[in-house]
Amino acid sequence: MNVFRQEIKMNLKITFLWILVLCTLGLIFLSFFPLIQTDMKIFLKLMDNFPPALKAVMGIVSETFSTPLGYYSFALTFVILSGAIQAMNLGVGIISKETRDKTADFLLTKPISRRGILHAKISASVALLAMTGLVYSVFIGFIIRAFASGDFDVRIYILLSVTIFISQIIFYSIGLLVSVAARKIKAVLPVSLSIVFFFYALSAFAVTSESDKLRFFTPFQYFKPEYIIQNGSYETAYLITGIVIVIVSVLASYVWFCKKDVHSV
Amino acid sequence: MTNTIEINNLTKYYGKSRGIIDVSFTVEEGEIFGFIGPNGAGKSTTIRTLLALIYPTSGSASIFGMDCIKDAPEIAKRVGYLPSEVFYYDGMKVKDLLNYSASFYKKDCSKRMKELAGRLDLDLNRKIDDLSFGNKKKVGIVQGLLHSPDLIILDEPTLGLDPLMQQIFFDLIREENERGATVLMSSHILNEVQRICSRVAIIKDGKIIKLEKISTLQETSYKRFKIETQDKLPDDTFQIDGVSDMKIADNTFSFIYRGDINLIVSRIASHKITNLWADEPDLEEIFLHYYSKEV
Repeated sequence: MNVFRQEIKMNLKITFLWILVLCTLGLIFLSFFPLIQTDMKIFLKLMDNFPPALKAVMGIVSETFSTPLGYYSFALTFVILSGAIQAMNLGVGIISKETRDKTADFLLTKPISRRGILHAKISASVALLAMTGLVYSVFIGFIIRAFASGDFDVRIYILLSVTIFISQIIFYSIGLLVSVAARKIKAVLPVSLSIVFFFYALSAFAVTSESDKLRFFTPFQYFKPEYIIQNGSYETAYLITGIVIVIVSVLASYVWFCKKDVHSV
Repeated sequence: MTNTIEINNLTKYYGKSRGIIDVSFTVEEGEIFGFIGPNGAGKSTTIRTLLALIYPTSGSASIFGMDCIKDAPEIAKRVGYLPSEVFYYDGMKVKDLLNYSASFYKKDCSKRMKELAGRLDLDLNRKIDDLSFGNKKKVGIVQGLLHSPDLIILDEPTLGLDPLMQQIFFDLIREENERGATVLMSSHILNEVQRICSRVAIIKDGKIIKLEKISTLQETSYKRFKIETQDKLPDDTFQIDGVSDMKIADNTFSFIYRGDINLIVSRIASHKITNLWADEPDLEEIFLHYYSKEV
């Protein structure tokens, strides 16, 4: 429990900062909605000239763009991208920070098993990510409802919001595995940014490709907002893929971390 | 007497490179055991294996009769460890870190913590980031001792401590030992080990080459002599048993000597000398000229 508390304490400030970033991002996008809404016809026509690939990458779907949630799914792409960076930072940093600050010797010679350490660290991270998603979603939810004036499906909104959390958990677990597997990571941000943008670039390929197969390789494409809005549910195959990635990464992290030699730096 | 630490044929390879080979020794309950060797000889590897920070390639070790890898968390309750490198968590105050450390042990450590900090002249309210290396080292010392462990493991503990603090530190270790704690301490400074330890294991190139009582080591103490004479003396003037690494330049003789110092003194006395140095040779030199032959 003490390790859990310590992890929360150490990451609380940065988490608040991320919540602020996500909320601001969402708010900026939403603040354009009333403006766009008044000139929606012109805007839609303008967007028809956009290359379809660009629209697809940005999550713009002409049919639903005029509705609040349709417009919001366009903002959601960027919120999820930012959220992915937050989660990846957390994942990559969690073990590598201990080796970098030479605190690994301190923590690992205390009367607690390595499994216990990882339990505590993962639980703390999940709690922080859940808090991020919750605070953001509640805040933005109220804003959208204010704009939407009745035209607001809470169930769909919750489904959309939860994809932030699930995406973050997927990215977090990948980051965790990298963190455990690497001997030493000198700086977290370059590593986590490269991984996230690699998947984001892959995402651009996936949406422009004819086949849907590429979508399996990038968590950014597991939850298409337009599908959720139309069907009121997630695409099962991708949801399962996401869950499998999380389970495999986390299990591999446990096995690896418990067998790993911790070197003095 | 029971053994606190038992190491049996412990071997560790990092990939293909050598860590330690076939290391075996025991540390008896209540003793202060020194573990010396030049840098890179395998001291830290041995200690890190005992602490389950790294896993042995083969062989085993036990502490308090428990397996050092399998029962690591159980063993850790009674072990205090001071790593050679200092560490800190970002933005943490000294007392935050010490409280965090104490929170792992199911006992009240606050009194002992304050006591130790007082002895070491350590300000509990400072941020660790702002501390000097020596002060960070003190945080490490308090952290390693605050739960009154039964076994204290120290890896190059005096690195970065000024002589005064070293003295206080050794006093602390001696007191802990009198209280009943067993101590395992690694060092590459022979002098330091001689001050406090009762027995030593000497490690070189990953292998234990000698286990000695410190009294034996002291009997055969090593000195590096440098003698400058007024007149040019014959090259074999100081050719006695126990002299090695003889270097002669003009009127200066320089050598390492192991044996009865009076023999050297009597030789010096019969000549006119202009200058004389007698130093502790560093461990590397001793290894180079004595132990390397014994392997």
